[in-house]
Amino acid sequence: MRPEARLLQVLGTPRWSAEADAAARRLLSGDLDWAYLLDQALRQQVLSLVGRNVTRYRLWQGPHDRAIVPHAWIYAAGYEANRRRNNGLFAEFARVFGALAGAGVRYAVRKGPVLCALVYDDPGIRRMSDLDLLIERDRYPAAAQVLAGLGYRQGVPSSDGLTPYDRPTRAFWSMHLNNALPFRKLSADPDVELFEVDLCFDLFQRRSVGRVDVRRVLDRTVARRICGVDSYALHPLDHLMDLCLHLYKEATSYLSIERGKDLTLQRFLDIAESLRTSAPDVLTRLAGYAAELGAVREVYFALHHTRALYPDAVPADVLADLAPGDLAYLDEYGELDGRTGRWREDFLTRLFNPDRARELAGRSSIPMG
Amino acid sequence: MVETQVRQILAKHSGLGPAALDIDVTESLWDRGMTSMAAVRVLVALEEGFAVEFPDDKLSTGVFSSVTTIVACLRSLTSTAGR
Repeated sequence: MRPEARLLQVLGTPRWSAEADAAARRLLSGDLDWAYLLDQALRQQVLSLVGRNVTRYRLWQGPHDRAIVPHAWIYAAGYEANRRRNNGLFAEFARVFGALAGAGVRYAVRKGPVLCALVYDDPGIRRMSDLDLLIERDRYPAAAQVLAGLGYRQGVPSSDGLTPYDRPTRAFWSMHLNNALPFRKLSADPDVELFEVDLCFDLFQRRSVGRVDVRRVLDRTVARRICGVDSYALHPLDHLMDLCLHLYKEATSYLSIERGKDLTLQRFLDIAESLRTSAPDVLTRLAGYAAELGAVREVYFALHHTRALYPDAVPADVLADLAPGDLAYLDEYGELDGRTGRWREDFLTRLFNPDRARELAGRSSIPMG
Repeated sequence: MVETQVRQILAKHSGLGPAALDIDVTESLWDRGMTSMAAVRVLVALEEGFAVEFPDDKLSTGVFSSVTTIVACLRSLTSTAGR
């Protein structure tokens, strides 16, 4: 791994320690490509976390009054901007929770807002994009009406607003995907360019082997304070399952790879931190749950790669017990698109290679127009 | 008449070619190789050809699984439109 990648791994931790401090200062004392580091901090979605640590622990300060992080203010600004942005998102998402509850639409909050509220100790260190909600498919019309009442529309962002999706795109998403086209609302908040809500009807993709009863998942949601208000999070086991399934989908789908959203440190860190803040036996239970739902491949994929980056998060013996027979799929992509290809580069090289999409043998067939 | 027109649209847009003109009415179009994108092209052609719009609850892989299911859906849509 390049030293910049190792440094990002060290700096991208919500829990600072003497070991992390020493490792960071050792790496910072060497020659670094700062443009690459900044670019990667953004691509890996850890700029705000890096900024918090660089600032709070004065990592920019070297010996003999020498600054060892050039332009350190940009990292501090990244953290501060994200903190403000998340506060704007929290306020808007809280309105969505209230409106859904008022309309009697059952939902569970997935990913970002839950991680910010329940897993990370600082609401500014994790970058969020949209609000992901799990609902029952037959409640979609009611949920869509609630969002329309709040000013959301389904459309493609353009310079003069939102352009409605064309018929083929709407048809494709309805017919072949387990989530609705994104609901969006232009924002007057200078820290938030666009509010976006994604309604999802299943934890699995249509082409997945695994299945889960969404009604049962919603039956066992847990009441939590999320975005500063009372809301509902997935049961801890479903939360971990969801993170693993989502990581697998993003890591292997043509659309995510084309957009450079397939591999991010943040996503692996989410799993590592969720495990750290869960009950001690959660990994063993997750393994059993994966077998029950038919999701062993996806869960193993997520945990195997999480361990490659954060070895302490996933014990080797638990991982070994979960391993499916054939591990060749770990370096493949496109299974959920129905067109499987194989990576030439190994995982860690790909993760920090911004041009990895050039390896793809084809393009996504999901229309977004 | 409806079935004939459906078969012509399938032959042109499903990717199955002329085989769609003779395919068994219950045979799976997916098993014969129709792709996700081809199904969308079929949908758009059906909507134009029959002057109907498939509502969201009809946009499923089941509706587009065979000649029979497509014809049944179109009949339900045209009869609804005629009321």
